[in-house]
Amino acid sequence: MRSLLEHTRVFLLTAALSLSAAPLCAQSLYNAAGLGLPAESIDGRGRALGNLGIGLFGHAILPSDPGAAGLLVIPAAVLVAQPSWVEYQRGADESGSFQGNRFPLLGIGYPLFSGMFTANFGSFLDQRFDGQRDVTVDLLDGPTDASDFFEQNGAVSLVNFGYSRRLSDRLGVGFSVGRYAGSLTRRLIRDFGDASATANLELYEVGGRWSYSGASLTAGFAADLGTIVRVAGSATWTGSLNATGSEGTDGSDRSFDLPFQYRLGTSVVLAPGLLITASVVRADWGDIADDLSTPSTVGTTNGFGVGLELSRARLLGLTAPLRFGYRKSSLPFSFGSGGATETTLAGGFGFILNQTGGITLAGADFALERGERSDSSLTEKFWRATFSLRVTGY
Amino acid sequence: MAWRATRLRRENVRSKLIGSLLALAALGVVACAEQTPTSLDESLLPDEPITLELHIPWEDFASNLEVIGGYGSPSELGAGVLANSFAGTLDARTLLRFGAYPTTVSVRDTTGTTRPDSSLTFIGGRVVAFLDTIASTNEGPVLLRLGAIQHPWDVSTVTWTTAVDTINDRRPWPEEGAGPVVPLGTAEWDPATGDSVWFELDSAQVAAWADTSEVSRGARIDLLTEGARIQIATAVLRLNTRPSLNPDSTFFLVAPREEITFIYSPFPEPPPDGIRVGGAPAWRTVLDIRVPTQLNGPEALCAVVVCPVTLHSSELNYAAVVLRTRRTQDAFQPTDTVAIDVRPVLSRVALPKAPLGNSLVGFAGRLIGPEFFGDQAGQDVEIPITIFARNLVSGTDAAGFDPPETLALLSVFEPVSITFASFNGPGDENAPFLKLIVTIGRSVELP
Repeated sequence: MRSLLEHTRVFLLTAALSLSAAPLCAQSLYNAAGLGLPAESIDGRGRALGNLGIGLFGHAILPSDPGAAGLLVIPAAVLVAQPSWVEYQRGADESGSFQGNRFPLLGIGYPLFSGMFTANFGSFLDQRFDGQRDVTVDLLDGPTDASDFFEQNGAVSLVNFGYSRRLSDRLGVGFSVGRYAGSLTRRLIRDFGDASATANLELYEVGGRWSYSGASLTAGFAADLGTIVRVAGSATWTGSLNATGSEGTDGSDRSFDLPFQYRLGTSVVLAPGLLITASVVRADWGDIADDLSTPSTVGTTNGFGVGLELSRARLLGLTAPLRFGYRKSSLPFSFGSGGATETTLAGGFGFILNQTGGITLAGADFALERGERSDSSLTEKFWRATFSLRVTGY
Repeated sequence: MAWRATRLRRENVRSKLIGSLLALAALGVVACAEQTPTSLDESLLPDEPITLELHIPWEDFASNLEVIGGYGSPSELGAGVLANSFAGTLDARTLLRFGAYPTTVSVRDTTGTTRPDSSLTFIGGRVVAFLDTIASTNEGPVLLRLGAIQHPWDVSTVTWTTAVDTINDRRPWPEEGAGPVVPLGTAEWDPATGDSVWFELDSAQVAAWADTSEVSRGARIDLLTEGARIQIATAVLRLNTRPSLNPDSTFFLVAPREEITFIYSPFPEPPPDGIRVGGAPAWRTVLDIRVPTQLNGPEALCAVVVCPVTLHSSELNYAAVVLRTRRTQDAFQPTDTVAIDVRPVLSRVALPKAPLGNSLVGFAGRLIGPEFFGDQAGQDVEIPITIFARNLVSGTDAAGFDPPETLALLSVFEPVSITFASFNGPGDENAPFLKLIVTIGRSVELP
């Protein structure tokens, strides 16, 4: 009876967190390149440490680190919010700014069948952007000004369900099966505005909506070498990402080949209260180039990140680990000829709201990154904040 | 004690958790002011569609033109018209009926007390007519005549020749033009001196119009001056009254206008080759419309898409029937702006009483200056029908039904004036045509 109540509570918590998830929103002009900008499902702690989502001690439920979930012994959940403020510069004359918010990760883990069942809903590719083109159309009354507005709204999301378990006291393995979800709406509108010689011209509107589907499989491990080193790795295989047009969509259905992704990460406790971490990721997106119809540069995404955590720091009477990190990674799609990279310097801290026996039952993590994305034609400088809330042992 | 400490700690953790959740929600709210990044690279946009203006000749878009008259009656206009050989042809007279006379008046008696007095003696009166100076054509003084009608008449069906024309009751005037009448006097109206004119009445005539059950009572106003057309906005009967409580004083009371209409001759014949809208009773023009659903040119279009290309409703930005104005018969030429309405005919077989759909040009209608039906005739006037045309292209209306294919051109209000608008019909180079502005492009594909 008690087990049933607990399962019900887990289900309700999962449902509540799922309902609170907002749609992914724009974070970069690179959303317009190729299939969009990768959006990693990393929590505030990982962001502050420059981590790529793998190899950290702790109790995070990250889809990119299924092995770590196997080392967990109590239920855990995480919710992440991430606003960002971006300034862009293109050439000498064109510049501007925008802002947006997204919820890149919603994860929950619960022990079942001698292991840990995990469920994640996270972002994968941000694709939202607008475009505008001013045109002149020649009518019999004379030239008329018009504007073409293009709107691309949507994202590729990934829903993961996984199972991880501990093989020994210091080795955990896990896997997750993912399904790509989300949709993309592309719409072109020609607006004749008030400038038309003939009054009341209706808008011209054409476009379509495609739903994404596809499957992925992620497997990984996490091993603790003593109590001072953790090493973790994971690999993700992805089948084709299929985009199927809804009724009324004239555009054709498409399929995109997504790459294998490999991740490796480690954390080392150099001294009590001092931890360093490093992680790398690699994915070759080259095969997708033939699937794209718009001009963009496609490359391999190599990335690394390093970070430092002072876990004994205190703030306002609470344990508040201080974190610093740096990361650099290449983007799969860019406008320029040489590919684009993203570099960030990060800092942040966490609040341990409740801790029992060395296990953090509730905590919040905050990270602030100052970064730059650039290729040969476009530079974006951004502030990105990440706030995550972790709950364990519920 | 330990129990209390544990409880306090739990409450503390709970409050922190709630605070963190609130902070998370606040972050989301603060950053909800989403600003979508706007791409600066035009190459990321889909191929540019092409916008074209097409003119479809009458033979290819319209058929079954029909001009139908008789909508409403002059009595619904609420105004009168006078004419005497206007434009050499038009004669018009205004017929009036006044309402019941007031039966009491408050009077101060010889003691200085104000009391109601219902014993009134009407010692005379005057008919005051208020004239519309803008709608009237005269610039100098004109002479008007008032007469008392002697024959029963019905305000809704009265015409120049017929006093009553209801079901199973058709009675002509003994004398065409609402005659005969008993002359009651004449008056001169000079628009330079005012907008009203009056006719004095004696007590006998006032008494004759007091019986509201008498169906032959009424006044007829004629225009004696030739070559003018005058519009009467309204009229009242002012009564000179002597109360019994204070017989040394005269009071002025007003009997309101109860009915007003006008009759005219000759009644215009429907145009054999043109389009007519307006008048009283009103004229409508109906025509069947078809919109091409396949385009096989011009070259600029076929350079962008493969011709022939199917036209979709979303690609139709604008559609209008373009009419060319022509000079209206001088007697019925508009003197004020004409407001044209256009509505779908929901059931052509039910004409002339077919129900009409919603206006395609809005409440105000398509406004056309009166000069376009006179000295500046020959101007093209666009009557937008975009929604109607889009429904024809898509084959369904907003409610999912087959769209109507017939349009009615009519006056915004029926009737609104004795004048009407005239346009060229099919058959020559001035024939109406269909103006289409379309935007066609390739379908939007994934990146």
